[in-house]
Amino acid sequence: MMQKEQVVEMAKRMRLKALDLAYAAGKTGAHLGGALSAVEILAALYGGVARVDAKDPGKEERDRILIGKAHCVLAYYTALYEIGYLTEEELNMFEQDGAFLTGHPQKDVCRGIEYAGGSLGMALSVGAGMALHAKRRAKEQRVYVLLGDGECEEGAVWESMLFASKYRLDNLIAIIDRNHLQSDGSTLAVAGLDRLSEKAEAFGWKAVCVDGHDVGQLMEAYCAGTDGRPLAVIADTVKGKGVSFMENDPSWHHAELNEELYRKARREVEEEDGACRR
Amino acid sequence: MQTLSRKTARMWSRLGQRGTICGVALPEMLEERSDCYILTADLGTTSGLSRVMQQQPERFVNVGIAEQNLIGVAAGLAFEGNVVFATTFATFLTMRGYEQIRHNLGYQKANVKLIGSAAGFAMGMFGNSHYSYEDIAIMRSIPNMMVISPADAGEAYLAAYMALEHDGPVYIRLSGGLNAPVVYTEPYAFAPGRAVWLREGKDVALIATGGMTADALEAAKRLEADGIQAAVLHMHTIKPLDTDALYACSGYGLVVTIEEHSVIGGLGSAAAEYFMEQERKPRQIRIGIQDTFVRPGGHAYVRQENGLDAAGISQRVKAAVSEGV
Amino acid sequence: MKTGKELEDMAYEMRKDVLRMAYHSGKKGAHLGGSLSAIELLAVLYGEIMHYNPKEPLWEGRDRFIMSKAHGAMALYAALKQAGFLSEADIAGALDGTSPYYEHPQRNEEKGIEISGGSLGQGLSLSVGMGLAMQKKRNGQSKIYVMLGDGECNEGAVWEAAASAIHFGLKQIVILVDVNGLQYGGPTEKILRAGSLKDRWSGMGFSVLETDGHNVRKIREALLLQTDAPKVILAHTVKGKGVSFAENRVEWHSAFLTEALYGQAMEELGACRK
Repeated sequence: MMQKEQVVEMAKRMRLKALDLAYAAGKTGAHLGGALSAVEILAALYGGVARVDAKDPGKEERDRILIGKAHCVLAYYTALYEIGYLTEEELNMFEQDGAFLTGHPQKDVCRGIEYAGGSLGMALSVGAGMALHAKRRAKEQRVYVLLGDGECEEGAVWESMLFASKYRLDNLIAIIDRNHLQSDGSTLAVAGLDRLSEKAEAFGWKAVCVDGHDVGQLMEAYCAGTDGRPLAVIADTVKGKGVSFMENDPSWHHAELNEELYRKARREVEEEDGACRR
Repeated sequence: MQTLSRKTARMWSRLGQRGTICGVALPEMLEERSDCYILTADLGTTSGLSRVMQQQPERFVNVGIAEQNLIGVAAGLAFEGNVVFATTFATFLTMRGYEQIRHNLGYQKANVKLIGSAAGFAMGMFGNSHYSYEDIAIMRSIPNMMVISPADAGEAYLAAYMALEHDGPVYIRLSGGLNAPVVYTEPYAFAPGRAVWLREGKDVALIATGGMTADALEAAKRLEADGIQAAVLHMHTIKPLDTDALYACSGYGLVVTIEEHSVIGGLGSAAAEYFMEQERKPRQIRIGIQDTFVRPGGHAYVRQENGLDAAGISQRVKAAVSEGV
Repeated sequence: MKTGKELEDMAYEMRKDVLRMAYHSGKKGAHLGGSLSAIELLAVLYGEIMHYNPKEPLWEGRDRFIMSKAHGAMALYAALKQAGFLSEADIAGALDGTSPYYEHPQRNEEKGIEISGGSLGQGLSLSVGMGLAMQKKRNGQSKIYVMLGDGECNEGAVWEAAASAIHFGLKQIVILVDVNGLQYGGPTEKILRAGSLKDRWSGMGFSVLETDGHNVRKIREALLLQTDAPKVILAHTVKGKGVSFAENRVEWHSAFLTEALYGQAMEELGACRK
């Protein structure tokens, strides 16, 4: 487990690598906004609290990490690269014809990818099933599921919320990347889903709200006590975080990065003096 | 696992296909295997799972009325190395969570066995919302999915055990209610993808699946009285399709497919797709639901109204034979 | 405006009709429990609150009633008879195998049946669509009353629809949840207990009222109360209400009435009215 400062450095490298990959993807474009919002969330998880080991990927007692908002692959793959699941060569094959690192992840446990993504609203149920298994077999492992705030519009999310509460799955942690934007605009404007912590509590979960770009707060929140309830970490984030022209602009949900903008973005991230390091 | 005998066949037919799987096969499996789970969406008692609920509560999960979640939780349990049976009415099982099935069971090969009960019109007066005559079509269109439609309770029992051993998703479509006719009274080797010739005849080949196979046999008897020799092939596996058996059918002047399902996408379509690509193409008639929502009523009534009983089948075949080829 | 007594009389007639339908449906049985729990709610809606005209059933300005918990069909048919949409003959023949009045209602706007039911969790989404259509047509007067079961609220699709109703500010939608505490698999609390239903609805942004679902005066009060947000009425009811052997008994979700039980049930209803 890394110290907080190391995780902050890891997040910075992830952000830079994400920009490289998006630039290399060329005209196909890539999901940038929702990846940049999730960088600290995943760094704090993979670099921080999660018990996973790239040298022993199939180890039964590993924590399970499932990605519901699978369009955040740029943050996901770069995190997996950082902790050794992916080689640089593999990472650089991102979104190339025939490569396995596709725009939405394909299941590949050996490379740390527990669950394929691309259809929203499914991962929390699957995570609940895994958490139930761990409970019934009295295993120590925890199951983390990263959800988008837009994803929470899926009814299936609320079905699994009820379920996890009924079975008192306190080994299940839902992390909601609350970046307030979805493909078509703000979550409030598109579907009106807000006050997520209130809703999660109403469905029987313990909810904790944190600054989703503060790795210290995130690492602490992931380990919060819940009195037997499942835990929802609502991470308030900025879509496109770290790149001024992408921040809070839904058009960067999925877009193409040209050379000029790429250089500008990289420079901004490199020069960023650690506002996230509080 | 028990063997099929005259006695068990009779006993199980009284329970029906669902009662046999949920009340006999699944409880046995839970005792034999430690890696097996049974899931349902608020239909435990109705499905005949009481024995499982009482004796194996640790391996039983009720997700409530939430079929999308049913599939997700089943897949999560399966990804952890378990073999998971999920059951509810065929319609809600296959349609409400269709995308979940495609994504988790098809795409990611979650080792989940779907037991769709009361397929076709077995829900009787519950009406069209509870009928399921598109399920074969949508399930067989999902890569990796095996689709089985047993003829009777005994075969349903064998199919469930086959599904337990098979590594990958299986959809078992259960027809009929209690006291369904017995097709097999003797032990036989059930093999997925291997159709069963139940009767020989030179004039016409009747290919049936699910509960319709018993009616096809009865129709063949009636046709014999009219001088028409009908062979009966029971296609219990719609996917993977037994193309060897279909090849044998292509020598007939007339092939008739019979299913309690829409003519779109079911057994009839599957057979037609095969014949289409062969040099020798038999004339084919598809008996099933003709792209309509049927008028609801009791099970027997709806089948009769739609020509899906022995009388309807034999009439249709006779008319086709007299028209000539 | 009807008196409480008149509404109670109406509920009494409806309950008798439900028992007749259940009895005539024969051995295949009928959904008695969840029909009897919803009687007073429907009596107040059709007896006093809703605007409709059986002579002009497609009148644009009518209020819509959406029976999402469609296994309450018999209660709906009984209410539609009181409202003048269905005849005595319709009720006498309902559920008999040839009648178009099935175990789950089939859409028939001429007869006041707005939607087909039978697959739980879909009625609220439909209501949202109807509400949006009304907004587009500038029909500001029609209300949409949608009845859900408490078990039905397990469906994620309900919460998908709930979020939409709030998002689109559809105040013409009034949700009535028949909280009879039982679903097909057993007590709702046991199948899926999680927080309280009230918290969940208010968490979604609704104004939530709780009331006794068998008290016509209290139901009326709840229906007439103005709220800031779209309204959910959690009506606490008794499954099988009015028939001692069916009350709070999950096996009466769907079961058949023998002649003896039918007689006993009718007698009990009569005794209550004295």
